[in-house]
Amino acid sequence: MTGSLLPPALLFFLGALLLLAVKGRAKQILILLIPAATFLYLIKLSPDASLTLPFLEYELNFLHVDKLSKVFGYIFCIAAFGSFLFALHIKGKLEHFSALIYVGSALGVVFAGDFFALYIFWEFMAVASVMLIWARHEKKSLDAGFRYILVHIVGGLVLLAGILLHVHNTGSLAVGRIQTHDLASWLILIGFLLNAAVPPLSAWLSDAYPEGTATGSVFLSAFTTKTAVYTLIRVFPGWEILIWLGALMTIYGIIFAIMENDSRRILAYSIINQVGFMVCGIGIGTAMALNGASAHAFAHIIYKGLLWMSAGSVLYMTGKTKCTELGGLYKTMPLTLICCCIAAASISAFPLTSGFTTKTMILQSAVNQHLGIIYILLEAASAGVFLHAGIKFPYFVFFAKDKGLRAADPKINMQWAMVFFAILCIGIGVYPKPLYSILPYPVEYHAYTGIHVVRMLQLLFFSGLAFFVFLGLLKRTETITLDTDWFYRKGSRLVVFVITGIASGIARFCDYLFIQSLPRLLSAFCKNPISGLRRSNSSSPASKRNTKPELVNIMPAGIPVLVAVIFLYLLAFIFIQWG
Amino acid sequence: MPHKVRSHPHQECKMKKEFDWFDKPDNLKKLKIFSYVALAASVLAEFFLPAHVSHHPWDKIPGIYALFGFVICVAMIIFSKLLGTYCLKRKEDYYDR
Repeated sequence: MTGSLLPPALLFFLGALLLLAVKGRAKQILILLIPAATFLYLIKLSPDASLTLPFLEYELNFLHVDKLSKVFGYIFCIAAFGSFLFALHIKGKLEHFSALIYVGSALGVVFAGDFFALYIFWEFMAVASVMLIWARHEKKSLDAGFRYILVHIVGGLVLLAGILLHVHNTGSLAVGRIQTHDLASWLILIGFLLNAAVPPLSAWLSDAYPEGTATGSVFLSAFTTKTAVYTLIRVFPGWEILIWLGALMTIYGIIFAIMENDSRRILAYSIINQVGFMVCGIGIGTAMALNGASAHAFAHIIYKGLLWMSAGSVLYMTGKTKCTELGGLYKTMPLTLICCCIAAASISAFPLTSGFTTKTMILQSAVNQHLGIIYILLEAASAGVFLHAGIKFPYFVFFAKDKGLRAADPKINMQWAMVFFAILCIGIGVYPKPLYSILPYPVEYHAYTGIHVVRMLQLLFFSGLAFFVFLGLLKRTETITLDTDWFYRKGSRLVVFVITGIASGIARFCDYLFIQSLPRLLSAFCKNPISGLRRSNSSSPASKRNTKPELVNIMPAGIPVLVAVIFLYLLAFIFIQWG
Repeated sequence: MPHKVRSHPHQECKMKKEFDWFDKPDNLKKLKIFSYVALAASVLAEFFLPAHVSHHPWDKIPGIYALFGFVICVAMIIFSKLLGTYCLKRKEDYYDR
């Protein structure tokens, strides 16, 4: 082992082990202390720090530090701190243990200097995160969790195949920019895109995240997709296909979110929409676009976490998530409402909130690169964000028709977590300079120009007008929306039908051949070769009953003797010739 | 444990009256007027801004972002509605059948 520094992931893994030994107040302190300590450790971590371990003829690099990895490291620690604060009241250890491993693995991916280390943490992340879904202990969660882990195993295998091919082709394990468009690169890209939830590889997210626990989904919303965003920035910046995939994602997320009735599924689709902005920025690939993607990931983790917290609070207090069953909660959950509105304003990029100072960087970079159509699509998506996450979510949950629910604001730790994230949302919006200073490239961008502010307000206000004018069309129905998971949820039944059809056909044939026909034929043949052969055409039990039991009696006795003599001569000949 | 907190009818008179500002028609009317003012102000404000560099031909049309925001949202609402109604929406027990 070379290098004198420890990877940040290790602090979380050690914390997870320590968690098993403590309980009560000590457990609560521990889960808050680990992300806080890791955050401070990251501040001190110098860019030339490294930790390498020998593996076969390669050296695995578990600690590669630069400005990009530090941005994601910081935000992962902040997200972990806020999410653990939100989940502080939980008595069991499974959720906290899984969350610590999950966050640790995400940090492991971020600081991995080579593809093998990255892959190891990538798979750890999938396994640890599924526990946060299963921890809800409902059949729907169990099923969704199984689908989630299966999809991620397939994605992981595609990634592994790509990595192995890449290492074979280039001889290098290092995680760095890939510019060749060969099979290895495409396989790695598909592996990353699956975790970034790029359609049509996105259905796992909207299927599984809403089935997580009230607190677990807050973790889920932050790490898997954003580690994928990080790896895309690291490995595939400037790949043109990402521009179009990102723009598609932004619109796709909106269209599906508008159709949804489940409040947490609306938020799941809005993750796809928001990650679309980042993927698009990565595709544009300029310094400003990559800064924008990193900054937007930073801001997104906070406001999206806050939205999941408010949805989680509603689920925790009422046990409900469907818009058709919710409404009128503003009367009794004021703090949850205020925090939700701050998050909704941030995701919609209202001036003075975090979305405005980060997302607009990506839009500006599209303008600077003269990508007119992409700019229009992103602006359309910005308007649509306000429609589904900015208004629809808070409106149907907290206002709309009063359903008689009188749930209060959630536990105090949950309230503090929401306030913490809400302060950060506004802080980044009002004073983005500290965030800009930690971005990978120097920032020369001013979000607050008169024209930016006025146009953003126009776009958002009139999107809001469209919502209320067409409220009749947005009326919620007790339905689900089909997504690409249909292919493996319903398609799997077809596969099972076909496979069982083929398998049972083969089984029936084998049964006829090996159980019914051949043994009888062989036994008859061994007993009496000549009569056995003659009986070969009448081997069914029915025909057997009709034949006489001792066929040999009606056969000329010389024929078997003749066969035996010929056989003996043959053996003698073989023996003399080759013996 | 999820739980509901329902106010008991006998306690209602003793309890502090719950916040129901948004349920009152008068308040909603005020809110509506305020919203219309905000909509108008956002468009009018553009006329008072200093000249700026325009990157696209449509950049020079005042209020274009307001129009774009409204039209594109209406388009997305209608598209979603049609897609949902005729193609993708199913009953909640669809996958259990």
